[in-house]
Amino acid sequence: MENHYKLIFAGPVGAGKTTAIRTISDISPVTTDAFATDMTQNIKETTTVAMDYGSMQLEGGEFLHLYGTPGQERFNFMWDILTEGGIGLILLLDNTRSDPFQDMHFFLNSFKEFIDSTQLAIGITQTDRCAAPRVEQYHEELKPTGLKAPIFEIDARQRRDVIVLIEALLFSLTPDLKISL
Amino acid sequence: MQTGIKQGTSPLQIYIVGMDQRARNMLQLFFHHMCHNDYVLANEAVADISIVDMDAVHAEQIRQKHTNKYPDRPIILASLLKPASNNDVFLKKPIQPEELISILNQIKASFLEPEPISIPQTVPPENKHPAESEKDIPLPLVQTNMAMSATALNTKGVLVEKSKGKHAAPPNQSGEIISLFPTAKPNAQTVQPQPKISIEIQDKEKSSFLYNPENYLQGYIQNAYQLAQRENRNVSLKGPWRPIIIMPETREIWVEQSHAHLYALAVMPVRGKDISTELLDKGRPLPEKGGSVQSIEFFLWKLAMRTARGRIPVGTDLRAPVYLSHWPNLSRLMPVQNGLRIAALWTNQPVSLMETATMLAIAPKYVFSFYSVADALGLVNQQVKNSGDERASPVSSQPEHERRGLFRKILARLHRRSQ
Repeated sequence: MENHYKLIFAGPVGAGKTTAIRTISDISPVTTDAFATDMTQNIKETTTVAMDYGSMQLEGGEFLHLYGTPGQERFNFMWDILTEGGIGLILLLDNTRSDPFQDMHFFLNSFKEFIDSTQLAIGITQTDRCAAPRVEQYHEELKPTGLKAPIFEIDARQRRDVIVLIEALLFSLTPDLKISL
Repeated sequence: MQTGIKQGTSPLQIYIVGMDQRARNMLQLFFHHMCHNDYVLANEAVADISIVDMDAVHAEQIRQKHTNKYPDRPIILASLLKPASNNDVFLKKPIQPEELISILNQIKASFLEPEPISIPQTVPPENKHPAESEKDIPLPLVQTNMAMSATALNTKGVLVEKSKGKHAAPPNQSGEIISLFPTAKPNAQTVQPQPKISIEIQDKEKSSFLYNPENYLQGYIQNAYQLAQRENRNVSLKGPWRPIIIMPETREIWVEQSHAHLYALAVMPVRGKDISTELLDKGRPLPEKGGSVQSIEFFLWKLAMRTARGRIPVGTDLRAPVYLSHWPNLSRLMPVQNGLRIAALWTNQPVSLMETATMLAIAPKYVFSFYSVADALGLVNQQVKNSGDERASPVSSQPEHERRGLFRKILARLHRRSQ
């Protein structure tokens, strides 16, 4: 029987979850975007109302499933279902939002149990449009939580950026992982 | 008996059988830097002694063949478990440096004094407590007298520049060497008496893995950046280069010269040249013509990588744990080989430089490189404990081997698509 593993992408609306999944997925991502009808409309024309889905086939026939959580808070009930069995959380934060730190804490709290049992890597997007807060400030903000997660500036359209973030997550989970690439 | 080593000053030539290139490199580095070339790796034909890895595939056949070919050559059998019956010298893995050196010195002594050597026998494993038999292999009682230091490791294992004359090494100095190898600790039996190991690093050797950032452009940029941050004003740095301006508010650097020229300058010692820093008035604009601006972190990181070239700053303690204050922004910095792995390890737990190389099975130069660039950005220290250092990796319900297998597959997949 094939094994299936999950990698979860979370973050506020417009942070780049759908794009990040599209960037690394083997298949065209299955999106359940719909035209935004609420406050999201001000940010982008469509938004994810259920989830994004992509996948990567691994050696041996196994699959890594890539799930993007819905950006709208009214779909929070989906998050527990999505994270079950996940190997780790990629949290994407949009630096142009009015209070990215608040976003960060919201998602850290929402996924606390999952993060505590796995690991977290944070990607800051849109830093070309808004340089502040800087990555160091995110680290400072994260410090009281006791988490020492990798926090990188990323462009979700750039495959290399998304890969570096995933690699950091995997090495965080198994620091002495030996590789022969 | 072999003919390669008949004088006390000649190095003992060692042939390694059954170990991979990485292990050979590690031993070579160990002999070169830590034993002042009292021992050197050599090819099969000329070696004085052979070390056979008995945990390698077909090791017994290889050993037998080797013994038949060189019947007079002493052989050290390295293995996790003591061979059931064999008269060759046994070296328990993980290899303890003191034990290896002691055995080698006894053999070396036997070349000088043609009397049979006597390697103390351990208590047969079957007479010991199982756990004890796995751990305790007493060392032969040998005094090791190695050449003394010009530049050496001090009592804390800190690399210092000037330390001359002969003196006994502190009891734990050999711990410096231990960290080259897997983690087993010497027990009470193995440290009585401690081998008197003093490590000499000649000037030529010193330059191979030590450097002083203060002598290079890197040090001047770092100091200027600190000054700029402290005063919260732009700082101009003048020297044997075109003007450089550091801007603390935006954390950027403006350079008139091409970056390629500056990076080329990175390897040239500039200390003693006419170099000055100047605090600029607030609001003073950047020169209008030419020049380019970039992140000072990116610039310093790259500059430090060029300057360090696999070396570490003078004063670095090879044995002390390294505390990483937080992950560098690795998606926007020049990649350092194995940087992600090292950062993950140091974030998870403070580990010394040499232990890091051992744990990750990578050459120390990669660890040194990462340490040096992280040090240039002020991200590492060896004294202050950071909050959260004790946080261990989360416990996964997945079996460890399964998880590692999965992660390797994911990494391989990601990289395959990247190519």
